[in-house]
Amino acid sequence: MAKTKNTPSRKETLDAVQELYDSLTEAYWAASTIEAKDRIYGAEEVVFDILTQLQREDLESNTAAFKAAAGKVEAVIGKVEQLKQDIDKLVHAMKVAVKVTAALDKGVQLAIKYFGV
Amino acid sequence: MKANYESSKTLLRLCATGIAALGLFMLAGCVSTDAALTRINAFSEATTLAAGNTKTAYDTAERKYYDVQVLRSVVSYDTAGFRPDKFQTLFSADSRQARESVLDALALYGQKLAVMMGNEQLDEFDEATKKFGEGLGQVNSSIGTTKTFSGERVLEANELRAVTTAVSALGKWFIRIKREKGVRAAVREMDPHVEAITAALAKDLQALRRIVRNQYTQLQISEDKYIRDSRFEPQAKRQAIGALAHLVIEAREADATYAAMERSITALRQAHGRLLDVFTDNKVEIDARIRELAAEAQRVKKFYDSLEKK
Repeated sequence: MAKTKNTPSRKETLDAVQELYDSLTEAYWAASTIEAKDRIYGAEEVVFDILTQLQREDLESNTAAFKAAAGKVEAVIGKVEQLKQDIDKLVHAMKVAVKVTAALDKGVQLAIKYFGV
Repeated sequence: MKANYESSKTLLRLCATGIAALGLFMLAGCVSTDAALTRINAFSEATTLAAGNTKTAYDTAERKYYDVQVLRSVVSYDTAGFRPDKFQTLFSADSRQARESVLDALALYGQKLAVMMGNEQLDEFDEATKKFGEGLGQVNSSIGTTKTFSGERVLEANELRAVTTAVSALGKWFIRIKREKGVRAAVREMDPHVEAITAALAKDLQALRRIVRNQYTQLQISEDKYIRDSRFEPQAKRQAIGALAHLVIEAREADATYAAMERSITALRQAHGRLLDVFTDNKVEIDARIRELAAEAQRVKKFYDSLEKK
């Protein structure tokens, strides 16, 4: 249903129902007879359900913000992960240099052995 | 050939000295990595804790809603019987999943930053450079045993050390610069998303605070009606009234906890906004924000731990 000028917003409706619930709670504890307490209890149960339904809708309306953010955060995490991999490549290059020096040493030793240099 | 070798050796010595001096100069110019690491670690731990607390906040609201429905069923059982259709959840599976995913991603982001700023890669590079130096020394001594250079001192140990130190310093400097630049870019890119997420979380927490407050009210009046409707023995009645009184105290604690949780989300937003301060000399503000975030997150966790024990 389209919102007209006089239609209260979700927040206004929530606030109004919350106020009603709080008044009923006060009335419940203030009631001095069992009959009055039982009547208020019945009304409070109904108002609690309406209030919960409105709050559930309120939370649901916020879900889109979480869904929109999730992908963006994952993209940033991906970039941090890529950065780690780039630096790992540098560390790997040094490990390759270690292997090269070992191969070089082996080559020199073989040259000494076979060519008698 | 020997003359060529001598000139190469002198050149190498000069290069080693130059590179080592340059390396030391560059290291002196770097902001202390340990200081940045300590703070990013603290931010990561506090963010993980705040994300975990927020998940527990959703759990608590869901569990209390279930408790309300159970107690109301108990109260109405004799007149209305059991109604399975009356049992509902606060969140749909989809909307709960959306929140969990974002909170997990937020914690993971903090952890990745901490890993990125950690010493693991630097230590690994250091270890590889050490082995490289040893390998170079081995080649050097093998060359020294050849007939061509028999009896010649090829390169002195301290000269080899200078080359290795210079390579290590240059490599580590490059790693530090690259990761600092990368981390800065990631934090800057992430900042508007952190703002959007913390705004959505704060909105949720404000709603949850009201929801949980109403749930405790509903629990109290349902418990009160249950006590009135039941014909308890004095001892059982005393216990039931004790449980009702306990709900009043627990409601106050829960209310304070949801308020603290909202503060911790605000602190998270502010701490992230100042996170790049870890790379500057002025760390007063970021230290204060991280302390605030950690303190609020710990306070909230303490409440949830106490709920677990009940």
